[in-house]
Amino acid sequence: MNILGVQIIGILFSIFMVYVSFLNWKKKDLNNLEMLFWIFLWTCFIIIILFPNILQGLTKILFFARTMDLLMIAAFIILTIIGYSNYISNKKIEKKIEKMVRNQAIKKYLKNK
Amino acid sequence: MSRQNYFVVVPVYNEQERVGIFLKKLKKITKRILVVDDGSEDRSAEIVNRLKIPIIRHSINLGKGAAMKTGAEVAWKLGTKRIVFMDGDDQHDPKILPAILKKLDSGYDLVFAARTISTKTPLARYLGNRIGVYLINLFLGINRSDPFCGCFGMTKRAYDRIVWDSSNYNVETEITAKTIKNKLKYSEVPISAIYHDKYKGITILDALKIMINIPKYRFQ
Repeated sequence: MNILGVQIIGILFSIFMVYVSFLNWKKKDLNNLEMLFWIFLWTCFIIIILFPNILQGLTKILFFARTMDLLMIAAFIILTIIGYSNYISNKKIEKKIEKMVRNQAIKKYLKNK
Repeated sequence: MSRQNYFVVVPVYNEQERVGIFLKKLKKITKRILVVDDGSEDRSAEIVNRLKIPIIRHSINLGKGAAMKTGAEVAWKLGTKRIVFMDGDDQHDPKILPAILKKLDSGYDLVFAARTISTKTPLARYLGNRIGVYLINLFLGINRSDPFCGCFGMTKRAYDRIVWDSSNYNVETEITAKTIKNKLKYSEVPISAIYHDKYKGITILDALKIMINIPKYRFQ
């Protein structure tokens, strides 16, 4: 089996991301279930990199010329979803912080008045 | 009594150089002042305390719009019916206060101060302001001479209808847009602006953000 340079980069990146997930799990930023999800996801990624032919059926059904094109489009869609949900959750957190700080300031002022 | 039924709300953020000067001038005109310190890291709050002016303090910096909202809500809780906002950077002449209150008394929901252009206006600010004013008037279909001016008065009734979401410098644009949308009665009074620092206040980045948000407020 010949492994291309791009596959080596993909595998190293996936291993690195598993390591990053592990560190976050150790710091308790991720719970057990989340940790399992990320390991599963990056393992799938490694399998697809090593055996891109397993996606050939899907590539044909969706009329993509190459498996790489399918992966690129999927990556863009995932990144867009992540970006959008980050934006929404940021806005929610901002609003919560604003409300909390403002209420705290008003209460403190009226109490000390 | 009716003339006393108001508060001047002054949002302040890191204004140790100017806030003392401005508040001393404002104290000569009125004692009904509420300062909102928006998480300043300098000596602004200490200066306000020394002047024995009531101060509400945000524990972190939230932005001008949020500070204005906090000040307004405290003023309403204290039972007032009208508020006037003035920036704490000594950019607005406090002598405008009676004119704003007089107009509010005569039945206007909002009274906006409009800065007059003088030879002392820095060119970059003048150009930025003119372009901004033109775009805001165009998009919102209005004819305001200075929609970016942070000095304006409003009644409780107006506040309840236009209570803003913006926590930053977009607040004036949002208030203008909501004034039009809610068909509130507004007027303008001229004010001579004092420019101390070419580089403070609304930055080019803030101006760009305001421009990007104009369509949002127009079609909200």
